[in-house]
Amino acid sequence: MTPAASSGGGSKQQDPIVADETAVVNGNGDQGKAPAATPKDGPKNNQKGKKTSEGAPKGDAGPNSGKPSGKELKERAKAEKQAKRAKEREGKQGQPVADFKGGNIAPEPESKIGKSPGKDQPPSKSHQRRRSSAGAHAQKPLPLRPAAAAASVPKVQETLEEDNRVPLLEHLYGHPRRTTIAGASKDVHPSVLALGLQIGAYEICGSNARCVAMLLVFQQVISSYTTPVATSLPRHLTTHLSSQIDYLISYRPLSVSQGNAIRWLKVAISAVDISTPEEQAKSDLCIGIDNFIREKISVADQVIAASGAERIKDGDVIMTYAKSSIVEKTLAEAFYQGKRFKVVVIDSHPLYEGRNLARALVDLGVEVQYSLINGLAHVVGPVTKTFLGAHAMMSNGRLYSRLGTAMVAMMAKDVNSPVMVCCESVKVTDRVALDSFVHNEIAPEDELLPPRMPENGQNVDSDSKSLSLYNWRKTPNLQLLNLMYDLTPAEMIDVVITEAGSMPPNAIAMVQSLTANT
Amino acid sequence: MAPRTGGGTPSALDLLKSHHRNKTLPVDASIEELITLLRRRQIQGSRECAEATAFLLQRVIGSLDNHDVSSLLESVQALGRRLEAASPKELAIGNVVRRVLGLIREEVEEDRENGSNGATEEPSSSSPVTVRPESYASSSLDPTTGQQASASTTSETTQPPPAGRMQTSLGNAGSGSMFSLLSQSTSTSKSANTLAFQSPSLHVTTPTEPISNNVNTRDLRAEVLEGLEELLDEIRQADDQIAGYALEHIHSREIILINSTSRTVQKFLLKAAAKRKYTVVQAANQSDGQICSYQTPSARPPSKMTAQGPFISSLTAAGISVIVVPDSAVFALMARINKVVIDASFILADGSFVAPAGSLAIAKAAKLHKNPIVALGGVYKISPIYPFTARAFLETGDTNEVTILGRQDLMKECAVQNPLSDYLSVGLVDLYISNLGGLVPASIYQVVSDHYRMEDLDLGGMKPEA
Repeated sequence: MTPAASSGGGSKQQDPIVADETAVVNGNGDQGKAPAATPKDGPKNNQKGKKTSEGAPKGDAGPNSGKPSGKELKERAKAEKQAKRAKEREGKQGQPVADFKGGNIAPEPESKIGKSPGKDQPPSKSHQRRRSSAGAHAQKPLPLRPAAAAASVPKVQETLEEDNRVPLLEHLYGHPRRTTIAGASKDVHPSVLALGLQIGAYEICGSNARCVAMLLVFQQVISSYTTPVATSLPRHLTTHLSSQIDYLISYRPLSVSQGNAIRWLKVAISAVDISTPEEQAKSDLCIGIDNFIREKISVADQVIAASGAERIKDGDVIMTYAKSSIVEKTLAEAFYQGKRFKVVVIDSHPLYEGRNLARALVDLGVEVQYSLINGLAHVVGPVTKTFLGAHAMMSNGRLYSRLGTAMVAMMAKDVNSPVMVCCESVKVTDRVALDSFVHNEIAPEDELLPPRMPENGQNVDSDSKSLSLYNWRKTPNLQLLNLMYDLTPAEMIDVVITEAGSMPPNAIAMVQSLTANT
Repeated sequence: MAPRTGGGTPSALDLLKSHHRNKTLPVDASIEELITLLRRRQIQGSRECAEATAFLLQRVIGSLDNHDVSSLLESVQALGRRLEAASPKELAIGNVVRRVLGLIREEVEEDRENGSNGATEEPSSSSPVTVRPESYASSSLDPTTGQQASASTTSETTQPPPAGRMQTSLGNAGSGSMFSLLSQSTSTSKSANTLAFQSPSLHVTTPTEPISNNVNTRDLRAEVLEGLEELLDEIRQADDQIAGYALEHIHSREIILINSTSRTVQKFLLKAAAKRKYTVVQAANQSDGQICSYQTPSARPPSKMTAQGPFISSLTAAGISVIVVPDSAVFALMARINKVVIDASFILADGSFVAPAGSLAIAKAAKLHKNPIVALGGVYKISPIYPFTARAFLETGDTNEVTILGRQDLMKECAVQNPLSDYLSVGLVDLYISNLGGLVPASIYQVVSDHYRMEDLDLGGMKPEA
């Protein structure tokens, strides 16, 4: 729904700490295009990065071409393979790593496992180098920025016991989210590594922002891609991208918009003529991505904002929930047109995205009222219109959006205020859904708990019994549930505003077929 | 607003109790103490407030002597006014005061009957008892009653006796006499009758004064204190009695949604857990301090901080599986919820009620999914007041609790709201469970008329003229 850093440019606001992270992770600083890669971090890792990117393809794994003794070589390869597996397994479980908050360099379990016999030798091979450098980076504690602290990245993400899973949603518990780059496959492009971290920490949050950021990063991936021998770009690049995508998924499941963009990109790649020179093909694809972003998101947003702003009149009281980049643009557009209205921002625990929206609107000069979702009944009275953002529109007309949206829509309908959904066509999916259970995303449960504040440390200790929610994992019969999305019934939505026009929610499937053709 | 003391942390109430028990403070000081505690919201929650009020009344009535009935009534009324002013949105205080006033009047009536049976015919048999219209309108009740007066039933009150005889019978009736309280025109009693309280006592005429000798009053006082003790027991046992009905409402494998950590809900759930296995989904809202408590502990009552832990651990220990979700998840989960249990902060005479903030949205979501909504609340929470201005009962909290985590700057530039309670109108709740058992909203008025007396609806906002 809601870009914390809305599109590529947004990363500028990110504070130094993140830039630092990026510098650490991002090898190819020279491209500097992705939101992840701020230009300045280039030099630091430049050499390393260059080498790494060359060694990217997986195929030529035979690590030590120049080394003697076949047997030794074999052994080493085997050990390395094992280590890699162990690492991957660990990475999947999200088993980490540094105590984020503590700031002290936690011993990296990784590096020990990852240390194959071959490691002691001079790191002449790009393969090894890369590995070791990745390990070193992972060791660096990732400082937590305040915003992320709100989301309270869990210190140690343990796998959930059966007993601590909500039985109803058993199917939604996949692997715990990855929280570090440790154990990432060597194929993963450094800027993708960085993007994963940002997405995982909600630095980049909201389906538009995630989609744009991903596409920009993929541009870098494509630029630094070289087709391995004995294969062709249209065939191999998609698999190469797939491993990047898998990595991103290990942080958070793909948003619908991301999924749609990826589908488009893969089609575009496979459509590349084999005879096209590689450089040409790559730059064509990059241009294609730029166009996609412009067409599907930037321009679409402008159209939607203009159309939405038309529906705002002077004196309106407009309610919105959490933060949607497109709703923000719509409100800003209406404000620029000289309309004077009041905005009621409803927000909720634990992400508090609405605060960013409230902040942005206040800075614009809009009159803003802010309340949490439990105060909904109090503020809903004077509301005349409700604008909601979308994570996705299901083709049966239901709105899949941030948890709590349905409640806001319901209360808005209760006071007879029209409910309007702003949704780019890239968010329209052909999936259908009837409830919020079958498809959903479960975020780390610890986000629901307040971060333990250092100054309250002794308080927490003395009160540890009363604050037993902290050790909820060890409490039998207790489950925490941190869903990300809910489904708003179509009958609560009056109109869906897309760049292809405004329509009742049940007609949204039309947009789907419309955009599928283009 | 809802009582949040789930655990056994020493509260302001405990402090009060010990003061009352040991009589460490003089009466005036304990009145001031309670008023201060109420003002600072250090005593919160209906049960706590009701109990504290009852304690104080015990103390005050116990310490009164050489006073006649009229001054007894008057001082209780005056105290009630002060307490209500200290925490105007906590109706349980007024409820207790009115119950006590009713007690006194009842005793007086009994005395009178005994007196008239045994002794000579009382000259001043009766005068209509009611409240004066102007003070009525000024109270939190409502002005519209005045208009309804025309539609009222005819008053069954007897004609007041000649004023001369009244005066003599009242003897030293001064400014605080029953006369000024009770002698009103029949027209006002009409207006009072319109509120559909079909209480027998409503129409029964009360004596102007049972010859006010002190012996009589002392007996009366003892009886009133006894009644007060019963009332206190009722308040204390309400939670357990409500819990007694739990098995009638919770079946095995049920999924129940709750949104508070009150003791009433806790006991209710625990009782059922003894026999049945089921699941509780707790919609915890952040500003309530239920999940989060970022605030400095000293700034808030301790009960708020520590409510969550013991509450949940008591449920899980009893074998209930508890799912804690943020309150934004209610709509998403509602499709799988079987029943919603809400703790009523207080229940109003028409069958509507006030509950912790967020309850209205939960109730609407439940209605949408056709899930039954059960509200728990002891009889002491049932108020004789009609919600003509429902918003007047809703309390708002510290906005700091909403804008925690370094976004304090927002508060300066935009209007931040942190309501603590919601008003749920009549149609939303399916069943009340009180210590009397299950009550449909439509029958609340019956309970009201059984427990309160019309003449006490208004605690007399203005001084009676001499």
